[in-house]
Order: sequence, then structure tokens, then C-alpha cells
Amino acid sequence: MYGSIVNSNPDGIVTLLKADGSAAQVGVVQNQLIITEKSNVIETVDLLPDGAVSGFPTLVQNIPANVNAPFGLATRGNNAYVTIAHADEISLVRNGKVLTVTGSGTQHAPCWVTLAGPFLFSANSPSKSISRYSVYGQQIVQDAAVAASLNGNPTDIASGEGLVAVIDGNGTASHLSIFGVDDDGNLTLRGASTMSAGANGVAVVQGQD
Amino acid sequence: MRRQNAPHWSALRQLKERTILLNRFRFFGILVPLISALAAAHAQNALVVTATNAAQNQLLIYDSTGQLIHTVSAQGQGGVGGNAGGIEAKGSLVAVVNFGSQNVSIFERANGSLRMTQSVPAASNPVSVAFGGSHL
Repeated sequence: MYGSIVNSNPDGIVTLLKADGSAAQVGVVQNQLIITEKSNVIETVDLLPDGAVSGFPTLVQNIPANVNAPFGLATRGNNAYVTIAHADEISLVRNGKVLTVTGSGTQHAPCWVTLAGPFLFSANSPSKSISRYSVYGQQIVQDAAVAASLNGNPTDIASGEGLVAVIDGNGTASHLSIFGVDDDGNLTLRGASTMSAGANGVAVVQGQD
Repeated sequence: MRRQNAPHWSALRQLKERTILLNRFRFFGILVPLISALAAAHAQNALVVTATNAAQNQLLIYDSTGQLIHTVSAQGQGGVGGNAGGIEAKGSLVAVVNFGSQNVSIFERANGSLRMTQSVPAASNPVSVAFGGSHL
């Protein structure tokens, strides 16, 4: 990228380990990409100092034996919080290894996640809920199984500017829910909107001064 | 004389220290609410975006209370499903995957909304996108 202009020519292309069309999400940790493929693969790709992809993907070590559909991820620094959705688990990946695995308790399939300060929020598709976890060091501790409930099955979650935004769908419509987050990680609904079914992705864009 | 004046000077010094302390409290008393107000205003000013993911993909732009304020064409085709990170924001930039047309649309914040600035081709059908350093 040059300022806000993206070079149309990629400076590197890497084929994923499975490359079976099940890729779920990509994120960036220090000097690496981390990628989930729903066919039970979590992998990393090295980045050159200038940020270009390099070499071949490497399978993350210590993936739990019960791995079942890694889906969403959120990154900060050298940490990647990766959901193992169908095993009802959230994992911490650092330096190419799974270090921690935490169960999602009463809420099922924590598909998508986002970080907001010391908290990790998971959007649990079949449970139509958002769970809150405290994350520090190698710990992922669930401190609210249901921080908020949703109308439909969530398909993505994002945070920023003191907000958490979630997209969900119920087959006939999609919904956007926007929550304020207080210092204790409590979610307060600020607004919601309904749109045609099939909406994909959500992001919070920073405010302008 | 000096001994008699000592309590007087001490009282003056204490009064001066109290005044400085009081002014500090006043300063922070103004500064802290001001910073909080600015942070709140910044959050108010934030935008939330999603994509229709339809055959003619569009970016839906909402204010922080969920009010739809603009709809902008992504000049590409949607059609992705079962993935996250199909939209990524970094600073004033937003990237949106167009699964069906194998490209990524770039938007930039302008005048309280977002305008599309670029379409970047992808090697195959994109499902998720991320910014890292000076790369997309």
C-alpha cells in the first residue's frame, strides 16, 4: 500500500494447506498471517519484513485432537484467538502453537470473535448469543456466558470506538446490532437495523475529529 | 522580628501550596470530563458497515445508533457465505470482499461517509480480508 492506495499486483501468493474452499478467516499477527480452514486446519504464513507473504503455510502445532471446524479469529500483537466452533472451544495461538483451549460452556459454536480491551466477545451462531471472556497472558476465562442475545444466527462480529457490532440472520432477514461497551465489558444495545437476508461482514470505522 | 514573622510566612506558604493544589484539581476537573467528552464524540462519529453480499454488492453505512445513512455500490458481486472478516477497517480505510467478481473494493472515509476509491483483483474468490502493516 502507498498511503491509502493498494497496489493491484500482489507481492506474494501462497496456496493454503487444504485449499478446499473451506477457508474461513485471515488475520495478522507479528510477521505472520494466521488462517483458518473449516476442514480442521489452522495455519500460519510468514511475512517478509516489508509485509509480503513468503514461503509455504505451516500447520499450527498442538491443535486439539477434538478439533472440529476452526472458524473465526481475532488477533492482537502476537496472540491469535481462534474459535474451534463445532467443538465449542476457543483457543489461543501464539508463535505457531495452540497454548490454551477454553470451552464455551452453555453456549454452542462460538463461531466468530472480536477483541475489545481486556475482553474477547464471541458470537455463538446456534445459541444466538454473545459471550464475554477475559483474556490475559495465556488465559481465556469466560465471565459471561450470555452477555447479549440476538434475533438470528450471528455471522460476524467486530469492535472499535467503544462499540461492538454484530450481523445475524434468520433466513428471511439480516440484522445489525450495535452495542456500547462499558469498562466492565457490559453490552448496552445502542441501535439495531434490519436488512435483506444474506448480509456479510461487519466493521467499525473510526470516528473523525 | 524574624522569629515573630515565621508563623506568618509559614501560613502564606501553606496558602500558596493550597492554591496550587486547588488549581491542579480545577485543571484536572476540567481536563478529565473534556477527554471523556471527546472520546464519546469520537464514538458518536464512528460508522458501522456491512455488505449486502448481493449480485450487485453494496456497502451499507450506518451511524453508531444503527441508522442507515448511505448505501454505496461496491462495484462487484457478492455471494460469499459462512465466513467472517469479509469486511475489514483500518483507520479511515475499509476493504470489502466481492466473492463473485474475485476482487476487493477499497473505500475511504470522506465527509462523514465512505467513498469507493479502488477495486483490487484477487487470485481467486475472496472470503476474508485483513490489513497488516502496509499491506492488504
